[in-house]
This record gives sequence, C-alpha cells and structure tokens, in this order.
Amino acid sequence: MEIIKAENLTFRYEDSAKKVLEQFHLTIEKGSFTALLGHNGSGKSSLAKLFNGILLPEGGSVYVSGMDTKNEELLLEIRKNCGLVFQNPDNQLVASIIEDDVAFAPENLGVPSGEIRERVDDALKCVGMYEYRLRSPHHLSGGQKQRVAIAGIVAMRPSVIVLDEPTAMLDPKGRKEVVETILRLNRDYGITAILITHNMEEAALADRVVVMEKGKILLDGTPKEIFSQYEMLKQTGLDVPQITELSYKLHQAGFPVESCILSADELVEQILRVL
Amino acid sequence: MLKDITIGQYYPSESVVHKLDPRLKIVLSFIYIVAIFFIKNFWGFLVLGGLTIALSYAAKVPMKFLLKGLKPLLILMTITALLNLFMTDGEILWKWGVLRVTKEGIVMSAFMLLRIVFLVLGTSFLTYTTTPITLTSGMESLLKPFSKIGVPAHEIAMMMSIALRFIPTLIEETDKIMAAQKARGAALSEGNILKRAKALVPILIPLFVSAFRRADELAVAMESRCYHGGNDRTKLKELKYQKKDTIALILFVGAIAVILLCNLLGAAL
Amino acid sequence: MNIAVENLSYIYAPETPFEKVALKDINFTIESGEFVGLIGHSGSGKSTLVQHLNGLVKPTSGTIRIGDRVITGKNADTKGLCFTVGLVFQYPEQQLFAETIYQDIAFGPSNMGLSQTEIDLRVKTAMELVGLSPELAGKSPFSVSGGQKRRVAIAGVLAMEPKVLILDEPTAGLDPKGRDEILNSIRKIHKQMDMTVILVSHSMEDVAKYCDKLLVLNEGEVILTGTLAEVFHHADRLSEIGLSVPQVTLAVHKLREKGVDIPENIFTVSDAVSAILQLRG
Repeated sequence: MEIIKAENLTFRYEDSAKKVLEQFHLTIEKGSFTALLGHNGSGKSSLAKLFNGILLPEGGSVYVSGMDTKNEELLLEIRKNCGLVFQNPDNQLVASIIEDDVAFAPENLGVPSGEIRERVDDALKCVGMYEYRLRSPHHLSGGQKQRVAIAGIVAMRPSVIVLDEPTAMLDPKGRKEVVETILRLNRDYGITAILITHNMEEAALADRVVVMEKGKILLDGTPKEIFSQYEMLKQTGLDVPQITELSYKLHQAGFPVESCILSADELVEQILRVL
Repeated sequence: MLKDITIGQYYPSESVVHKLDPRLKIVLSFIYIVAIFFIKNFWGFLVLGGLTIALSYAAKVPMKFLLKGLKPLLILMTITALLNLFMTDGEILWKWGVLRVTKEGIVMSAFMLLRIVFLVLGTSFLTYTTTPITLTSGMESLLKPFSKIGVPAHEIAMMMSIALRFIPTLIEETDKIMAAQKARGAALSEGNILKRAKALVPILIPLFVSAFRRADELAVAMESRCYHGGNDRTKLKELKYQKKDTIALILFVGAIAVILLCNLLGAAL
Repeated sequence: MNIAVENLSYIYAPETPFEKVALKDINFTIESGEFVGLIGHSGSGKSTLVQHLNGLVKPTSGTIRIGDRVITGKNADTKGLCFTVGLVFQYPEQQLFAETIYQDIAFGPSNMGLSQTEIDLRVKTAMELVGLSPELAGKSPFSVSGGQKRRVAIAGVLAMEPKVLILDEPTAGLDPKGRDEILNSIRKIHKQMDMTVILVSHSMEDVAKYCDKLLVLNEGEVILTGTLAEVFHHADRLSEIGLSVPQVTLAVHKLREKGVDIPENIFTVSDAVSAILQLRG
C-alpha cells in the first residue's frame, strides 16, 4: 500500500525562476525504508518539506495517506502523519528539558496530559534516551540530541518519518546511534522511513535507493542495483561505498567477482572462491 | 565573573517549596517585594528576616548560597549606603569638612541596605526554587485572563522558553566565532573605544547571521511538529493548585500580616 | 615548520563543578612539511588540541614548540603566532562577516599590517588556491553557495600564508563532490605552498587517501600515532573506541586472516585493486 505519493509534482521557490522539481513522480510503500540520494541542490530537501506541507506544490500534488497536502484543513493531520527530522539537531529542539521537548508535538496536538506522559516516555525509550529525560539538551552529544529530535517526532505517532541528512553533522559514533535508531523504528515499530543522506554506507542499509538529480529521478532500485551504476553515480558527484568501488574496479579489470558487492565479508568470500 | 551571578539561577532540590504551584510562588514573591517597601521599622525587618530564614530552610536552599547572590551587588550597595549616610539631613553626630553623619542618615542607610538585601533574596527565591520552564508556564497561566484584552500570554511564554533554550547555544557560538576571528589576528581588546567597537563587527555579524538562520530552521521544525499557536494546546505538566499551596498561602500571608503589624508596634513604642 | 608537543595537559574550568581533564599528557612531534591526520570522536579533545597549537588556548601544563619558538610557559612567544599557524575552524563559513568576499579574505592579512599591494596579491593567490574564480571577489560572501562559502573561509586563513595549516573537519556537511574538491585543494596547497598540514577528520577513508601520518585521540589521550601502516595495523584498538580502518583495509585484513598472501599496508581502493589483481598473477 502506498503511503506517500507525489504526482506530477512541480515546485520552485518564489524568488527564483529555476524549477527545483519538475514533473516529479514518486510513491513510497507503507513500511518501507527508502534512501534518497543526490548532491546538494538536487531538490531532496525541498521534497522532504513538500511531503508534510511546509512547502506547497506549484503544480501536481502530494498525498500523505491519501490526504492532499494542499488541503489546509488536513494540514495538522498530514504533519502528524509524516514527521520531519532535520540536519542540525540544535535548531529543532525547543525546550530546555528533554522530556518537555519531546512533549512539544503532542501538546500542540491537544493530546490529554496523561497520554502525553505515556507518549513521551515511550518515545524516549524507543530512541534509548529515557534516562536523560530530565537533562538539558545543551549537555548532550550530537548523536544524542538527534535521537531526542527523533523522539519528538515519534511522540506524534507518525506513520512516516522523513530524515533530512540527520547524520551530516555527527561523528561516526553519533551516526551509528542515529542509523540504528532509524532501523529500529522501521523494523520494530513499522514506521515508514525516508532517509536523505550523502553517506553511501547508510544508503546501503535501505530497501530502496532513489537518486535525484536536477529535480528528477535519475535512478531508482535496490541498493545493489543502484551501486552497480558506478560510472553514473560518480558523474552526478556521488559516491559508492568503498567496497563497492573496489568490487566494481576489480570486475572491470577482469577479476571474476560481481561488480556490485556491498559488504567486506561478501567481497572476501568471492575473492577466496576464485583464488 | 559571569559565574558569580547567582540571581536567576535554579537551585535543584526536592523541597516542598520547589513543588509549590509556580503561579502561587510568583504572586507570593510579588507580595514579599511589596511588603519590603511597607516596612516602617526594624521590627518588621526582623520578622521578614525570620520568614526568609524559614523559607531557606523549607526550600533547602542554604542561606550561604542565597547571600552569595548579593556579591555582584556589593558596589551598588556600598554606594547606596554611603550616599544615604552622608546626604541625609538631621541630628549631626559627626562632622569632618563637608562630610557629616546624622542619626537619620544612619537609620536611612541601614533601611536602604536591608531593602536591597531582601529584594534580592526575595526575587532569587523564586528562580532558585522554580525551573525556568515552570516559571514560564506559571506566567503564561497568570497572564491568560488578560489575553482577552490582547495580552499575548502564550506567545510571551513561548518566546521566553525558546530564549532560555538558546542562550547557552548562542554563548557557545559567540565563543567559537571569537576564537575563529582571533585565529585571523583580530584584536578584540586593544585600542580606544572606537577601535574596540569596530573590532566587534566581525563577531556580531556572524552571530546575527547564525541567529537568523537558527530562527528560520527552528520555525520550520516547530511547524513540522504541528505548532499552530496557543489554541487547543495541552500541557505535559499541567499546573495543579493543591492543598499544600493553600497551606503555604495561609502561612505566608500570616507572616506578612505580622510584618505589617510591626509598623503599628513601632508607632506604639 | 616542525611541531613538538611534550607532556601537554589541559584541564577545563579547574576547581569548578565543571572541571574536566580535556587533554592528558599528550606527546607527539610533527616534521616540517608533513600531512598529518588527527582522528577522534567529538569530545575526544581534537579541537582543544589544535587550539593549543596556535596559542588560542593555554595549556595547564606541558610544552609546545613551533619551529624554534616555545609558545607555552612563562616566556611564551605567541606574538603573531596565529599568522604562522593558520587554523580553519569547523564550519568556517559561520565566521564570514564582510561586505565582499575580497574584504573577508583580506581580514587576516590586514590584521598582519601588510601593505595594500601585498594584501591584493595574497587575496588573489588564496582565491586561486581554493578554486574561487576572481570575478567572485566583489560579491557578498553570503550570496554564494555553501561549498563556495567554505572556500572563502579557508582562503581567509590561507591568505595569511601560514607555515602550518590546521583544518578542523573541513568537509563536514558537504556532499561527496564538495568533499573531494576541498580535499584535493588542500592536497594541492600542501604541495605548492610547502606547508605542514594537520587535517582533523572523522573519516578514515579520507585520511587514508591524503595523509602520511596519523594521530588518534581518545578521551583526551593520544592512543595511536605513526604512519598509516603503523596505525591501521591496530584495527582492533581502533574498533574498540568506535573507529575503524578504511573499508578496503578491513577487507584486506580479512583476506590475510584467511591465509591469503596479500600485503597488509593497503589503504586505498587503487592499491587494493592492483594488489588483488596480482594475486592471480
């Protein structure tokens, strides 16, 4: 079942002549985990904001669980359904105490006080930050702050969570924490996840990878299918995981391994087989 | 320097005073401050001092910590005391050139000192025992009746809590920008006032640019989290006026009544 | 210019409740002209350490020598040190302030008290080094793209023509193409200007590609230091602290564990390709 559908979508910013998205089509299946790739300026971030009605299409439509984002009366329902997490964790936390911050969205939605408490506790446990609930965000690491930001979205009980480069400002440890949290939300809680990223190792964890360029979809498929398009990815200014690059180059040089291997173990296994 | 300032800080503790309704605490602080200016003799200050010590005991905020809050005001207090000491007319006790000390001057300067001390103690009690967040929601709730006449109660509270959230972030950012400009040879504390003011430009502009960018991103993040103003909002921590609040109110008002009665006592003596 | 750090310790906010040992007994030397990678998690003390090297932070104890100058202790010689040791902060575009890109880059050189002709020349050279086209000079630094802003900020430090260039995560937040462009510029600058370069980074893949030597910091202590080969030899130690060797090195280590005769010291994709191709003769 599709949960997000962009149909014939065209978009540009008011003060600009250049179209950020043009005749764009994309459907996201319920429960899926999609990675969205593309270099800066390819329209990914605008797309994320079109998904929850922060931006509105110039042409075409976006549907979230069948609701048209242009319908102003449904706006809160749409935003509750489709939560957004942004790059800079500092600039999305509103309160000086973590549990108060996580409570922000349920408070806005008018959830009764007792239920807010339940949602806040659940959300914080889900991202592994429950012990920190009475602390100030100021004293947390980047990865922890970002997990609090995710908890703030989880507390809305959304069906989709869109994350716009959530790991770009984090160190490897923070990245790992956040990526594991996203995987858990998707697998254990059944939340549909859309991850915008520049990190190819992260993208390789998704079920589906969509590569955007100049407001259009360039490639769309499983991580394996996408990363096998080595030349095309490099041309658009993107990477492939280092192991994939190695397997591709070996393959090109006539060494009998697959051209698109995602993990070190698999590559080692294939090399051992031919030696 | 900055870390000496304890006014406005929160002193974490599990006392009954900490748990009182913030609205009550705001109102009582107000009464306390007003009472200071109605005290006419030292008996009143004596009882007020007793009340303050009792409060410190009940709130588990040590007197020592409370008095530390006076430190940054020492200069102001000294000047006030000296001015009152020398400038008040009356029965001359001591004279040296143009300087003279009168009996009334001594009383006056002692009064002014006590007023400042209790003013600081009274107001800092509120912030020591109430987290900024609770304080904000207390103010929001107290201002709510006025929203009918156009007082933006929710907006004021929201602004205050966001300011509180971002103050540490912006301080950190300022430090970082200053370090970055120093790394390019910026001389921040050299030369005359004009030069120094000019040296602030490379600090202030990046700081404003960043603050605006943060504000922009925060606005989008808040909207994404279904923020739509103060209508139909609920609260995680709802303010509840409880029995202990009533008891505190009665005790406090009683103490203030005694303080004001001291005025009569003074008149009778 | 060579750098020698001996027994360096730094305690943050001593004798307050916030007291924290940020750096603990740090020892290392960097030879003139080396390209050194400084690796560690956020909070490992990397940023504090590099701020010691240009005199912004004074150590609690220990000695730092930059060339012939001792920049610590009572008779510390730190005058104009920031012009000798250029430090590019993390997200350096956040420090831009001037009306034009030219003026922003000229900020450092003017603080050095150089003549106008010299400043002109330096701004021009710096812009060229980071790959900014000359016609951008008159534009506002706030009007250009994110990647360009970062280049302007780096040029602002380069224009001081430091002997040592320290970059604190210069590629943070950039896309892969932007990242490669910046790192390639830095490599070019290192060669052309004969600078000693310290690159603070999270990415093992990046340092493996660009650096000769590595310094690994964890919780304020140097836990590994040496050539790439020496540091990546300790793959286990690295993974204990949540870091890892580059993915290709990991694959090579795995092959060796299975008894394949392949050299251990392989850190880049191209080296790995030729080594693996040789396995089949």
